[in-house]
Amino acid sequence: MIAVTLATVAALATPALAPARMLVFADEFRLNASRARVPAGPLHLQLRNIGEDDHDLVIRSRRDGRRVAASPEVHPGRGAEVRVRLRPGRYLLFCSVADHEERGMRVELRAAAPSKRPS
Amino acid sequence: MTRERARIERLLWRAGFGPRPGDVDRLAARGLEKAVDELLDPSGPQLSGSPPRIDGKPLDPRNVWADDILWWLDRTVRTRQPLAERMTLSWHDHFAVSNASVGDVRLMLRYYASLRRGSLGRFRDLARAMTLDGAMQVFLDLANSSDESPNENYARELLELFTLGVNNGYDERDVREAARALTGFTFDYDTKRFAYDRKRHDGGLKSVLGKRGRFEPLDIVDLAIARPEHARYLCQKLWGYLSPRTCPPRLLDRMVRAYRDSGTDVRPPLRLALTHPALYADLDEPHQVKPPVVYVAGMLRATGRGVERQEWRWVMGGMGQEPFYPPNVSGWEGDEAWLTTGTVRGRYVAAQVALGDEIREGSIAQTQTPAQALRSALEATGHPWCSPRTMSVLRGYARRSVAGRDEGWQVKHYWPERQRVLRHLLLAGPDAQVC
Repeated sequence: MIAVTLATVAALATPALAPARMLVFADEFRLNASRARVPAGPLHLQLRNIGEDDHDLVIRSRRDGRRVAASPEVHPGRGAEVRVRLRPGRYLLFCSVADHEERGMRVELRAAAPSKRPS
Repeated sequence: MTRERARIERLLWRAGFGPRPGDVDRLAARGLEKAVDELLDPSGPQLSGSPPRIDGKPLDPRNVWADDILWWLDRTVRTRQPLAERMTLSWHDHFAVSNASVGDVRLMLRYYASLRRGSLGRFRDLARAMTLDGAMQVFLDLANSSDESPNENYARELLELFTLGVNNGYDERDVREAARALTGFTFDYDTKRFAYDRKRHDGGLKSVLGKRGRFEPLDIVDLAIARPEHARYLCQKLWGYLSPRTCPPRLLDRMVRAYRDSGTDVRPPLRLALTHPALYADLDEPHQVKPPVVYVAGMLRATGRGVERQEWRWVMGGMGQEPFYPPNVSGWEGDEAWLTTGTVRGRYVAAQVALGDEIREGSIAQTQTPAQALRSALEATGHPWCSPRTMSVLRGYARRSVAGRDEGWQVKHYWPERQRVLRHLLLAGPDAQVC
């Protein structure tokens, strides 16, 4: 356990680690993410609202339920960017506007430790 | 320029994305007929050179917003098979699907691959591939259209836009019945899996376009293509991509016959159009407005540049054409509608982005003559077409712009500035907008 934690800290501390990129399209009432898994570490996420209502994007840790990042509300046809550093684990991405999450605007994201980074 | 070179240059603009250095001379030596054969039957690698990098990173169309636009633009710039790539863009206009509705670049890249694969083949194969395409099924609500609630969107556009033309040999009942036959496709938004569920397909009798039967989805494509109205509609569309002028009636008749006789292969009618004198009318007065993608790809090809600047992400939108994002299911309006007060400004910006800021202050000696300045600008921009009147104006500007500016700081600034302006006018002026 200690070894895993140390390895993770070391990987997160690597200064040259380029942010992983991810694109999420928001529509009524679904989120379409370009990937379900990213390497743990810096993430540069772009949100595009292709629907007719305003939407946002919140990232919540599955482990402790904490909000780790959120975009502003985005008007139809517009976009926003979220830059966040994710620890390994599972996250929930959802729209926090009105009842959009309950209506289906939620998607799972897994941040994998760097050694398991997908090619 | 000899007449043969002028014809080849027009061919390369109308049936591609403009010439790269040396293309016109090489193909002019072979003659128009062989040049057309080469375009219609491409072989070898599809692309030349290396994929572009922006700020040191490769394009990542799936994960970075607007990199899909640059990805397609890059293919038009680096293509070694210009007609196949140009027809892919034309089919994108014909079978228009927009990621602004689909919201899934992975599906859009597959859609591109289907268009590219079918770009110079049988229209029947392409229309069937489009019916089965995931992005298309999502865009026009064909996915999850069931026997209980048939969605008419795809059926309507299949008849109205893709095969027959508006109110051309079908009626509302045909649309409704075709929609029943097209039921059964499913898409699970969570697993992102497409399938065909026979239990959700309407297996009953349908009457479509004068025929009666238990039609299945792809039967509707075949029924529409078999209608006498289809071949003429499609051949007119093909000609329209090549020329803004009305197709000569006899040529159209020949194209229709060739298309039918070949079992909907688009190459025979394209060969007739691309070798017909009507396509080469008024070589001294080009009259087709270059679509923005063609305009930009043409500049980059002529100047040996690539899609290596992030500005292209927004510049394309400023000109009114972003691949993967047509404005609606009818595609782009095209022709003179490309030019508005806003998009003309966008074209000037595009030329600026293409040229970059590569001429430094003080980099040109005072000994450079006006003729040398113009020659240098023409070389740097790939010798774009210019009318004699424009050339005369540019010569006058090359002379006047530096006259009497002999002081050191003036030479340092105005000599490079003359070169910048000449290059920009050659790439962005009215002459550069047409082919």
